[in-house]
Amino acid sequence: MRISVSNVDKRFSVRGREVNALNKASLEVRDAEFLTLLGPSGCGKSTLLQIIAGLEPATGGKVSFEGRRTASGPVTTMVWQRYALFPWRTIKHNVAFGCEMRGMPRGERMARAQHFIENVGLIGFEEAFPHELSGGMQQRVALARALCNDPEILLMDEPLAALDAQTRTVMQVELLRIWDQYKKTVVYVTHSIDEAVLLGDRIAIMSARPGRIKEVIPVTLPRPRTLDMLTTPEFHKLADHAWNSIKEEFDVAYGASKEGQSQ
Amino acid sequence: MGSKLLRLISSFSLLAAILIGWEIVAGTIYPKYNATSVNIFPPPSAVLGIFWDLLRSGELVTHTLASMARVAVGFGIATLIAVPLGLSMGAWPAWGEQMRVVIEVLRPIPPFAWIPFGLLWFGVGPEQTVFVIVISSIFPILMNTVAGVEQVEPVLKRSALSLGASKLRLFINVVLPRALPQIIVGLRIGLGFAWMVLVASELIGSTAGLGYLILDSRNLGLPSLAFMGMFVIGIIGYLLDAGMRWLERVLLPWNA
Ligand SMILES: Nc1ncnc2c1ncn2[C@@H]1O[C@H](COP(=O)(O)OP(=O)(O)OP(=O)(O)O)[C@@H](O)[C@H]1O
Ligand SMILES: [Mg+2]
Repeated sequence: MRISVSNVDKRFSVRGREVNALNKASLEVRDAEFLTLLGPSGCGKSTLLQIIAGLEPATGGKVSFEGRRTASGPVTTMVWQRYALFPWRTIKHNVAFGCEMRGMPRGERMARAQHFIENVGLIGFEEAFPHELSGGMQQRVALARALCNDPEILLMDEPLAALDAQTRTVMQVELLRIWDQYKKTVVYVTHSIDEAVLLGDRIAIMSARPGRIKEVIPVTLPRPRTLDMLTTPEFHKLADHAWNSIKEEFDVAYGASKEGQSQ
Repeated sequence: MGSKLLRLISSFSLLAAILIGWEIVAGTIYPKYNATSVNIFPPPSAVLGIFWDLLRSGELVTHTLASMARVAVGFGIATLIAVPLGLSMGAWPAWGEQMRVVIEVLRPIPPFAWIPFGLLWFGVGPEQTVFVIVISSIFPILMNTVAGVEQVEPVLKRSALSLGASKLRLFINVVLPRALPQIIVGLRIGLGFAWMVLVASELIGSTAGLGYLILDSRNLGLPSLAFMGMFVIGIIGYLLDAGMRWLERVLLPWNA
């Protein structure tokens, strides 16, 4: 499914103070595309994702989903940085949660959950509780839970940000492998430029707050992607391009001088 | 196995030392100076003697069961009112806001202050005791239920909604289980309160129960009976709390 975000505004008012989080943000996400979203902290990336997910109303503008439905689950499902697993449910019941909510019969949903638990490499942990797992394993559970729910679109908000560097690299490879299998439309927020280039078909760059989509960079690297690509000149060119675009926004966000910006 | 038994025994060693010391003071030293000492400060052996007498006559069982039945009914009623009320307050903040004002005014009133009304409305007997128990245990259960619902992390709710849960499912499958540990804390405190006010209420307006037994000891001039009543109350209170903690572990294996 395609996502069409047009002129979305978001204003928060907290105790009389107004915060303009998004200002006429427009973005097209293609069917089965992996779109990564980069932007300075506080520019409204999470807000945009929650608006797309329907968890937060927009103040103005419109989000629409176009195209044929191919999945059995809801249109969107989110994955968070802090996994947001249900601590009272075992891993298999966490993974089966979405299907349970949709009334899928027990046998069917447990078999489905088992399949995704196996796919993310967590065999043997079906009966464990989330607090018994490491951060990386918990994020695998969160991923399995989202995939088991079979949404049209996966919305991921810095899913690997809480992990250490090594685990993050392992999980990036895992994500690439799993995405190749299911080819879902993905919007993926990250702070890591390398991650944005490695995972994305295109990189959307947001401006400093109030956020809008400033630039979309097509990632010309072939698929399947591998970690070896991190050292290719093409990768560096793309990463530099993204970095320069984002740096301008950092300078705006942190009030740096205009001179630094014009290069 | 052996070391486990040893540990169990050693954990009671202070209690045993206190009892032995008490027996020596009240059973052998004090009687040397005062011939009627057993009627003022009885030793544990006298307390045990009367415990045995009442156990054999069946009186102790009758009074204990009378007390426990009152706590069970009162605590049960309090739970049935407080848990749904607390959940509704957490689920509808505007309603919770209104209720909170009412509760915050009622809550600081000691449950004992309700005893005159209990006597006025229900007369001497089990009903007034149940009434005071309900009043005493309703507030901790209510406040902890509300706190439990309020502490549900927004990200868990969003997570459930994003996975396709309806509002009702969200409540049943996320809010309720997440709030359960706090609700159980409230139940534990509530049961403790219930057991404590039981005695006070039975002391004042009752014709049966452990509190009544203590009151009766005064009429009979038998302080060992009062001590015995106090011990039985202490031990049952301890067992009730231990039972609640066991329930907590069984119901909430994830809440380590
Ligand atoms: N619920 C809210 N109430 C009030 N203000 C909010 C709320 N959520 C976000 N904001 C504000 O909106 C702006 C954008 O926040 P958002 O979380 O979307 O940024 P972000 O780009 O995801 O930042 P980060 O990269 O640090 O995660 C911030 O200024 C934030 O303070
Ligand atoms: Mg964010």
